[in-house]
Amino acid sequence: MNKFLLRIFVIFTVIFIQINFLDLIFLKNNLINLSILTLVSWIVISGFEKMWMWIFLLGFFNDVFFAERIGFNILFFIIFAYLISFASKSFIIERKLSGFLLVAVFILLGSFMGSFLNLLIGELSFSKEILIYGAKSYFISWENFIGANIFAGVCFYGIYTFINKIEKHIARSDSKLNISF
Amino acid sequence: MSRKFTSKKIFKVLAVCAIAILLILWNPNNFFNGVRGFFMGVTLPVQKFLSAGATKTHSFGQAIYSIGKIKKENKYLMEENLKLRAQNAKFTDIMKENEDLRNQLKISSREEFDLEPARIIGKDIYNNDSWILIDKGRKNGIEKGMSVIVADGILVGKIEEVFDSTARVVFITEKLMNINVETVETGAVGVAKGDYGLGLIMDLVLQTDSLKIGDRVITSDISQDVPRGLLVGEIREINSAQNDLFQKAVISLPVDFFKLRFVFVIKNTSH
Repeated sequence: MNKFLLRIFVIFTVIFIQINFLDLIFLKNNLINLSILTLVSWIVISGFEKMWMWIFLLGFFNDVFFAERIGFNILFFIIFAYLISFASKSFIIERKLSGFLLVAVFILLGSFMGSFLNLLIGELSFSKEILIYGAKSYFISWENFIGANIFAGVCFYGIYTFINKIEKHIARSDSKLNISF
Repeated sequence: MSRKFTSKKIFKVLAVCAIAILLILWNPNNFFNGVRGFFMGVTLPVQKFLSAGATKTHSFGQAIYSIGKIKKENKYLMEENLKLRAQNAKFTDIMKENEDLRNQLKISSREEFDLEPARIIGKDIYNNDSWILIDKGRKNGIEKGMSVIVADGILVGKIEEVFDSTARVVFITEKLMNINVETVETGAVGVAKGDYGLGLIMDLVLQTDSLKIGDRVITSDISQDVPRGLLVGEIREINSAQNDLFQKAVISLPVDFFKLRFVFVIKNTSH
């Protein structure tokens, strides 16, 4: 129960900070998607096997609050999580530098894919206008792009630390339960 | 063992993907409206608190950013103030004339609208900027389809979805938006269509109608749900070829939708 409440708390915190805070501060263009940063943190810390159900819920609540079509974020998040899990098995564990670079690529890729897939699935069609609009909303200028991604890195550090503490707390509670049994 | 593990993982991914695809195709938005409304209502205080924090943070950031510009801006504003005072005297007379004309044309005065002020507490997460979330909902008499304006009658969007204490407003720049409009100067009639959040296009204007760059575009009385006379924008560019059946024009918006903090919902659309 404690585990459930803590992770639900993480999901809701991330969603509301995104929609009610970050999106109102970064008015013109927002490349920072806290849900994607949370997803990357969960996979890196606990792995796909342990977290896939929570990623499903993260996607579901993102859909409930924001998406025009329920299911879009579930689909995107689960595929993205699987890809991260697949790639991180080959790189992150063995090499620290390539692991760091890979996490940066995940964050960039996640924001990019999120922007485009939402448009494509929202319209259920593919056209030149959608591509142009997607590109314009994602890329305003180099300054904006670099600045936003540096900020995304800072946010990732914060979210990673926050989730790491929560996951450690959950692991400690689980081990205490095992001992008492 | 490893292969078994991977295939198990793939099975989970495929199962979740299948559920997600079914949901996307089924699109059960109405089914989840109750859930959405419940969470929106329960979390409204938190959302209001966060959006107030965002507004303050943004204003603070803007203030720091603009310190250097303040002196220059002050001089400009003083000059502007003088000009506006002169214009104000002129407009007092025009206002009276406008009131008489409105009475004759039976157009509702903007002051006659039953306006519900609302604060923006949320924004489109994927930055497509097609919608905003406001802190007024069913409890405040908000209904789907109501027009949303800023300042003195500038149309920004329409209510798309209503919850108990919040509502979702879709901007007029959204692709699926179609609003009947006309130009003030020449009376050319057309339909304003959203251009994927990038702006507005005035379409279906007859070749016989005259369009000029700088013409003001307002809502016409053809629309049942949008009051007449709301400002939509100004014509920035005209695309007209002799072979085309209709003329098209690009409309520039009078307000920056990104910077909106407060809006007004028009509750009485009949006039």
